[in-house]
Amino acid sequence: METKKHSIQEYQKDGELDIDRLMDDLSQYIKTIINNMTNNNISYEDKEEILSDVFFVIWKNKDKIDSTVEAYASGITKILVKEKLRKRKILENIEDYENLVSEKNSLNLEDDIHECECVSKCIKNLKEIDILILNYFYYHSKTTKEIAIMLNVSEINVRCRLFRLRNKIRKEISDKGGV
Amino acid sequence: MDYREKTKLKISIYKMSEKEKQMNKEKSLINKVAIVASVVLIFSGMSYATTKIIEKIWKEPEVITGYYKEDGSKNENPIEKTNEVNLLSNEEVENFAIQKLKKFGKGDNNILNVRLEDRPQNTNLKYIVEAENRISISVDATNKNTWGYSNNLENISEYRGNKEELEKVVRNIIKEHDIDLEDYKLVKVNTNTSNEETAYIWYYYFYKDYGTFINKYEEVAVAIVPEINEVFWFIVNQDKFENNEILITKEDAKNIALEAEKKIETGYEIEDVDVKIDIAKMNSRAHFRLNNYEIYKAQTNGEVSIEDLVYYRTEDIVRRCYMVTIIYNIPKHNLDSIFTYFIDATTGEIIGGNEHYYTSGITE
Repeated sequence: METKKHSIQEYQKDGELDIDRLMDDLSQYIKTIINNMTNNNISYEDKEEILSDVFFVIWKNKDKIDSTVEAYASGITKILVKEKLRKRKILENIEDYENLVSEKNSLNLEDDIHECECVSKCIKNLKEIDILILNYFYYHSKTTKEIAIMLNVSEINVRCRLFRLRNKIRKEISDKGGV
Repeated sequence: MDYREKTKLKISIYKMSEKEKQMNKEKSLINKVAIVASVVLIFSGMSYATTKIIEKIWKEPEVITGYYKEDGSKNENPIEKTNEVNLLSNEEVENFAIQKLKKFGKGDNNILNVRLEDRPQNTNLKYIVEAENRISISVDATNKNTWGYSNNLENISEYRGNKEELEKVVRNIIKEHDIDLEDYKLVKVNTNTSNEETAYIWYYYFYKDYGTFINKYEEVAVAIVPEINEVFWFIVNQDKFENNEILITKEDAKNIALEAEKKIETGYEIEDVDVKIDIAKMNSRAHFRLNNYEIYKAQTNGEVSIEDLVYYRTEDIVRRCYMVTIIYNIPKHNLDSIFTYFIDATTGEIIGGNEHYYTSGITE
C-alpha cells in the first residue's frame, strides 16, 4: 500500500507544528526505513534516538521544507541512519560514506546533525523532574506558577531549576562547540 | 523515555537555547549602554580635566550552578585551571605541609592526601592537605603566602585563659612562622563563648595597618586553646590591596548605587543612604542581586535547596571602594532591609556588595 503524501503545511496548527499528529502519521514509515537499512544491526535505543532526531530536524526546518513531508523524512532518516552506522563502523560499502557526505551537503544537514548530537548529550543525566519542567515551560509554554501547581512544588523551586538547567545546557552546548 | 518524549525534550532544549541567544544579545546591548552611562556619570563628577584611560576591572562572572549535590557534598565538577603554569606542584605543597606540621609540633602526623579545590564564589584555587588525627593544611594554589592550619582538637572545654597572656603566646607562635607583625594591628579578640570566663578557645585577629586605614584581607588570625597553648587554627591571608586612586566623588558613588537599585523593584522605600570609603574585596553579591533578584532573595532567605544554589564566580581582588549602604524603610530584622554596594573608587564600577550596614571606614 502506497504511503499518502502530505505537505508540511497540513501539520501546521496555530502557527506551530502539530508534532504529535506528525509522529502518529510518520513513525511507522520511518521505522520501516530504519529497519530495512539496518537489518536489525542497531539497538532499540538507537532506533528510538534516530526517530526522535528525525522529528526534531523536521520541526526545526519546518519553514524550509518544500518537498512532501514523507520525502523529507525519508531523506533525513537515511542520512541519520548512515551517520549512526558510520559512527559504529558498520558501513557495508565505502560508497555509503561517500553518498552520506553528498547527501548531507545537499540537504544542508551538517549543522542539524551536529545540533542533534549536542542536544542528545544534554538530555543524558537529566532528572525526571527537570525533564518535566523543561517540557512544560518550553514545549507547552506553561508559566512557572502553573508548573509549580502541577508538580506540587514551590514556584521558586521551578525558577531555580530552570535557571540551573539553562546554565547547564548552555555550558554543554558551548563546550561541545554547539550553536 | 520513548522517542515521542525525547523529541519534545529536544525541541524544548532548542527553544531554550534560542531564547538564551536572544537574551544575550539584548543584555550585551544593555551592558554597553550601562557602561557608557556610568562613564558619563564618572566624568561629570570630575573636578579637573584628564586624559587618563581608566581600565575596567569588573569582568562578567561565570555562573555556577549544581555545585553541590542534594546531600551537601560537592558534585564532581572539573576544576578549570586557568593559570595552570603558575600552580604549585603536589610535591611543593606536600613539602610545605610537612614543614608546617613540624612547626606546629605535629611532625609525626603523616600526610594522607593532597587535593586541589576550587570555590564556587571566586576563581581562587587552593590545595587541601589532610594529615592524620584530623589535621589539615590549606595553601593557595599559586603561592605559599596564603595558607591555613586546622587541628580539630577534642576534650578541650575545661581549659581557661587570660586575654593578655594568651596574646603573648599567640605573638610568639606567629613569630615562629617567620611572620613579622610590625605592620599589623591586633584588631579584635573573640572567644568561643559569650563569657570570657568560660571560654576555652580564643581568637586573635591581626590586620595589616597602613596608617590611615587597615586592610582586613591581609590578615594573620590564630585560634588558641589556653593552658595547653595548642593552636586550633591558624590563618594567613595575603590578599594585597591594589592601592587604586580615588577618581570619583562620594556623590558619584551614591548616584551609581541608587541608579543600579532602580533596576530591581524591591517595592520598598529608601529611608537613608550612607557612604564611607574603605577597602573591599570583589564579590558577586551586588551582581547577583541586580541580575537575578528573585532567586537572590530566595537564596538569601534560605528558600533554595542546596543543589539549586546559584553562584557567580568573580576574581579575588581587593580595592579601595566607596561603601554605599542603602537602608530601606522596613523592619530591620528583614534581610532585605539593608544592602551595601562596593563602588570602585577609581572606575566607579560596582564590584561587590553585602547585606550589612557598613560601619567601619577609613580616613579619606
